[in-house]
Amino acid sequence: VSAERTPRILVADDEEDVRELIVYRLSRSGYDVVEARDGEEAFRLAVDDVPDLAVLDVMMPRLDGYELTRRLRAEPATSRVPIILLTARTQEADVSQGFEAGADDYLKKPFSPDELVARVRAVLGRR
Amino acid sequence: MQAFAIAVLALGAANAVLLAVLIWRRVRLGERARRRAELERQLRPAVLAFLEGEGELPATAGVREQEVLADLLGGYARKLRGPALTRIAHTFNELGTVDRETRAMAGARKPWRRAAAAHRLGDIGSSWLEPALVAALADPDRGVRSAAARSLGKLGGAGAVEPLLAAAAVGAVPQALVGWALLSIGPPALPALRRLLVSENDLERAGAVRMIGLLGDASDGEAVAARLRDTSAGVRAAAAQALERLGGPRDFDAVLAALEDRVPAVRRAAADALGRLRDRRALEPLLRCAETDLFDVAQAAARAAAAIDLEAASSAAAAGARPHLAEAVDLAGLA
Repeated sequence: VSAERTPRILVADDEEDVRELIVYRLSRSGYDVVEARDGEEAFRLAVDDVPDLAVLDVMMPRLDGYELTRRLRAEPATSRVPIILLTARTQEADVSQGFEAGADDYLKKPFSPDELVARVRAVLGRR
Repeated sequence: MQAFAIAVLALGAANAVLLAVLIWRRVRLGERARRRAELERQLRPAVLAFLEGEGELPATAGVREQEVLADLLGGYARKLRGPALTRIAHTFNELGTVDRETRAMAGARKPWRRAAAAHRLGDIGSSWLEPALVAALADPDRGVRSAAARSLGKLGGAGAVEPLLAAAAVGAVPQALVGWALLSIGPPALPALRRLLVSENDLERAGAVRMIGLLGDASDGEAVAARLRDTSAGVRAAAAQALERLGGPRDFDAVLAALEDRVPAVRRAAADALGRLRDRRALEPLLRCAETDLFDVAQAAARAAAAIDLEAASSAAAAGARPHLAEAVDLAGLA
């Protein structure tokens, strides 16, 4: 991530209140945030203008977070975009499925906005 | 003829009135939903700032505004952890919402109001509400009791474990809901669950065994294995099921003995547990059990035998007409 440019983060969640909270928090933390209401919209936005990081809900209509992660990884332009999955599904198998799909990190709901920002910083810092 | 015409007119008029009432009601509900959505839209930016510790909540004068604000905060309380959740809990207390909802839960005349209050109190996220919610488990209305059980799970206090299992034992709250609540409480529920292993109530013992099977670890194996000798078949079956996950080599003899239990459900659960323990000493008893007449028991025994030694199960299946073994061998081969 360039030091001169504000990192751009794609947030995809079908729950409006959660999405707004994440957008608010990340914006206040100095990131440029774009939001999507479902997986398909998120994929389109990501391909049109590749973000520096994506925060994706797992349970979304049209395209769930796992499948969206796989598609982003398969697309040359977005294959290296760091992805944080956000979900209420926290069984061991669900976590494994997320990492197998290509996610970089995993945050379970209920979540702490502070923790989310810390994870975003950590993942962006690794790239 | 005239009477018939009057009847038709009366019926037509009644239909028209009914239709008008339905339309009026629909319009009114739509208007109410629109006003509510508008209020939410107005209040949300301030709520977001408040959750981030960057501002105060707006002063709300009307009951409707307070309810929308409470629902917005309650919605976030279900989805957040950390300082934001603490802010929500303090706010509800300061606003007097906790007092109001606690009074409503205990004394409102309409059951839906008591249930809504019980549900809301769980979203407020504070352990001091536990006694009031436990009392609501005795409400005459099932909806209120269920909402209280859900909220007790949400608050996560270990003090709710015994009342929850007691409520499930008398059928006051659905078992599945109590199971969800106990899983939400998580490992802190274990000390109370262990105490309930020797409850005088069969259903409480069975519930405790089931939940220890999900929340406990290998150190619980011995106490759960002892329940395989319980006087209640329900407890014995629950113990065998729990040992499928918790059981270790020390529990083998007790589980093997349960394969001879007089109750088929216990034998079936024991077979499942033996399949998981994978001790070869169980192979012959399981192969014998797989030939018995009871479908579920024989099927479980066959699958357990195939899990322990696929080759031996395959040979046994080939040696005679043993459909369960043949099926189990096929399924194991596909896995």
